[in-house]
Amino acid sequence: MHLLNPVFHREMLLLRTKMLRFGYLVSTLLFPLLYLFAFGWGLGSRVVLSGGSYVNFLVPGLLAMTAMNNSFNLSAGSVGMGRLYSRTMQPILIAPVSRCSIVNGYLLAGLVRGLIGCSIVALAALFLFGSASLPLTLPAVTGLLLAMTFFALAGLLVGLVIKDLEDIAVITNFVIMPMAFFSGTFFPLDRIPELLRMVLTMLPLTQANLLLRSQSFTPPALLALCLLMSLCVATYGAAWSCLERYQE
Amino acid sequence: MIKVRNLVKRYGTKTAVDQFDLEVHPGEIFGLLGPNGAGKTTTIRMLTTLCKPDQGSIELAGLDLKTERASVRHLIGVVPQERNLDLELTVLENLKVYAGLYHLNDPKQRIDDCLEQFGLAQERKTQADKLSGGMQRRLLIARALLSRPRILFLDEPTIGLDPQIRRGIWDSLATLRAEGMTVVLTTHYMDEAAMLCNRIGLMSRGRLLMIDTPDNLQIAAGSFMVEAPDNNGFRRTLCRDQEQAEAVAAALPGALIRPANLEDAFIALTGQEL
Repeated sequence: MHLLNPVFHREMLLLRTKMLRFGYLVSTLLFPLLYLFAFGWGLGSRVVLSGGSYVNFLVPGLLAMTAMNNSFNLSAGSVGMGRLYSRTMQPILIAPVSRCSIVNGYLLAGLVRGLIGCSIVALAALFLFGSASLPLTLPAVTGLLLAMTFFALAGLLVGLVIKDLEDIAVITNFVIMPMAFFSGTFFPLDRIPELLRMVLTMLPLTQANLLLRSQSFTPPALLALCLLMSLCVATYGAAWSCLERYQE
Repeated sequence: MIKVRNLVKRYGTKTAVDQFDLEVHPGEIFGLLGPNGAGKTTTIRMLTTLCKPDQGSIELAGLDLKTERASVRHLIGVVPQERNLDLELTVLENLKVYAGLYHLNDPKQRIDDCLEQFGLAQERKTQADKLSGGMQRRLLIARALLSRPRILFLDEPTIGLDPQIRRGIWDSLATLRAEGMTVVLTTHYMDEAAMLCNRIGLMSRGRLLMIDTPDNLQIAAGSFMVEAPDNNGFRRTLCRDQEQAEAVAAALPGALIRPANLEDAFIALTGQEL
């Protein structure tokens, strides 16, 4: 048992109990599945984007969005709630476990949660629109994993710095939700005013979407890969530093 | 075992702990006694690596907390004031997670021993949420002892528990004292401090006012209390012996004499109510 990261082990035990609750799964996957049904069925066959079907554009975007929501919510919710409300984070903080190990534990847990969410959305897309709608390329898988990594780490960071649990809702409403809509999830960014587009292009979800829609590692895809990897490294460092300096 | 020198902790303009010096000997149960807001929990948080002092030094078992934080964490067990168990998990899972955090190599036997010691063996598969308040508190203590710490910190270990459960917790702590473990506990229950602690430190407004044995603190304040009704409720006078108490009582209509307790001593010595 000691081979398993203890923070990851705890998160998986907690996730198992949560997964058994119907409401948890529904609330987690309601929106991506709703978007998939509404936009996929409603617009899928009527809209053509860049010479391809809208469904083939939408599904990769929804996968990236699901990865972002699930990975971010797991670590932000678990750390924020554990630190400020149930105080279950404190035994972890005073245990002789390295701060890197804590970061790795939440990162792995965020990856698992992201993978579960994405698997369900991918299965629904497969069932509704066939395998052609799924982005089964190396850049896409890499982009998805990097998005999960970044957002799990960002969630950990947010969970560690917030002063109040309502701050998570504020960040979700003012950062995560707008990012879901304006990072090329539902429509390409080419008609957005140039200045705003430049800002939106820098967002991690935009880069993840770019990778998810790439067939190979073209120069823009490689640039997106580098940018996402840099963001992951920077967020990892910030989360680790925040844990090192943490005090109540 | 514990050496604290000139500890200071400030939150904004408020000084929560102020020039705090303390020495706790190996095998001792040391009680920090004080009203809410006295700085007990902040002191425990600093001693257990959860917050950093603004000033001063802490040494636990010869290790400097500032430079050997990670090593210190191996030596200590902490029972917090709040019941911070993973309520969705079973008793066994709670302990397994903790065993992982403390890198216990073969935790099964140790977990079984702790469950047995704290009367939780029958509840191993019970969700922590379904346990009574007393059982949850016992699980917290069992969890803190899982790694066989050299120093155990308990922050208000019996707060909010009914008298029968409190006594059960006291029995568990008395066993630890018999085993020679060094224990630091905070409480604002006088009977608890008198019953369990070898020495008590009286805290008020962030400062440690005095340290002594429960008996000596009481003797210092007085052995008898005279209580007499007056216009503001009761007038209370601590007296050093029965003779003095009788003389005081004779001058006060309706006065009663009773043996003084530690609470009387605390009020007399600090000028504060608990």
